Amino acid sequence: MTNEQQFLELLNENRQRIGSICRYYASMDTCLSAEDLFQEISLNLWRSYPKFVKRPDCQLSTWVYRVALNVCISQSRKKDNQTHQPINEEVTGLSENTTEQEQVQQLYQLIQKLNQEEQALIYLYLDDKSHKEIADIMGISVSNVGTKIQRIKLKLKQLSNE
Amino acid sequence: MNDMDLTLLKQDIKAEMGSDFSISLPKKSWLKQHRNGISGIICLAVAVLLPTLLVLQMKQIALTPYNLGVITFTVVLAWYCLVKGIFTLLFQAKETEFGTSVHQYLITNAYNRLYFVYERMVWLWFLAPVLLATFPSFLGLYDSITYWIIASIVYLVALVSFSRPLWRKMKQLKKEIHQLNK
Repeated sequence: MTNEQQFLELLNENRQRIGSICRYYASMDTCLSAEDLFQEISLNLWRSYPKFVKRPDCQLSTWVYRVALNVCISQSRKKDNQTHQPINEEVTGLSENTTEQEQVQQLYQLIQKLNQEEQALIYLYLDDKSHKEIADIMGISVSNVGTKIQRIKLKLKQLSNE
Repeated sequence: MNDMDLTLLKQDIKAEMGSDFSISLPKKSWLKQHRNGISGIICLAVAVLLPTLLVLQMKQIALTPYNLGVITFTVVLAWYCLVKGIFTLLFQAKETEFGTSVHQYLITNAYNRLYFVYERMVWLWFLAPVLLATFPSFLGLYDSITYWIIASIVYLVALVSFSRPLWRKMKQLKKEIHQLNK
């Protein structure tokens, strides 16, 4: 099997994983399109694939998550630098009389108020990754992951009560 | 924000997606994709070209105060271009390195942005006044009071308008780096 075929197989296996990361970032920022993010991630996975092949110590899923999250962070930062008016109104806490979809949208807006590292961490937490896996992807210690997740939960609670 | 909200969010994130995406060639042009690399190479070329021109012209230049100003400016600009070229190429190399851990990527990115803020500060507080002061020697306007008045007003307006946002941006980035290192 050629390198290209191997890569396409890998991409197909991880399509769902990459898709959900794109969905997460596109839901938070209306200027980002999930499809464009998917393209950008695929392209950068292909570019860094030769480096990954030479590194047997790094797990495949860890590498995919790292590239995908870093590309999304980079893209959302580029969009932040361009002047645009946010479509959504300012969030002032979660109201009880909203539909599920609206509630989800409001939650995304709350997460948008976190910094980039916290946004990535909360995504991995919601994706049911273990603390060990999160630590590997983020490049921080396992104990630090626990502390940071607790802090983020508290921060989100405070933001939703504002 | 409670566990119920988090469950809703989990469901939304895990919803079926990605199967309908097709992979195609990048939309961005080659020039746009490599613009940092290209500007880095241009800077290095300017850094080599300026001293070369200066050395070639040295014998013909009389050491008047005006010409000394031009020489100083050329040397400063060449030095700046050399540093800028090297850093821009390093930035280009790091920017496309997405395989590193998220934490490391964020720290590298923050330092890169801080470097670009420093670069703008150098332009505003050092290179721009040097440029304005040596510019008349190119046009023979050294004794023109009108030039000095206009140049001073333009520079003061730029200084007042851009100093504060740059300083704020620097503080914000330093805070971001400090938080990431915590």
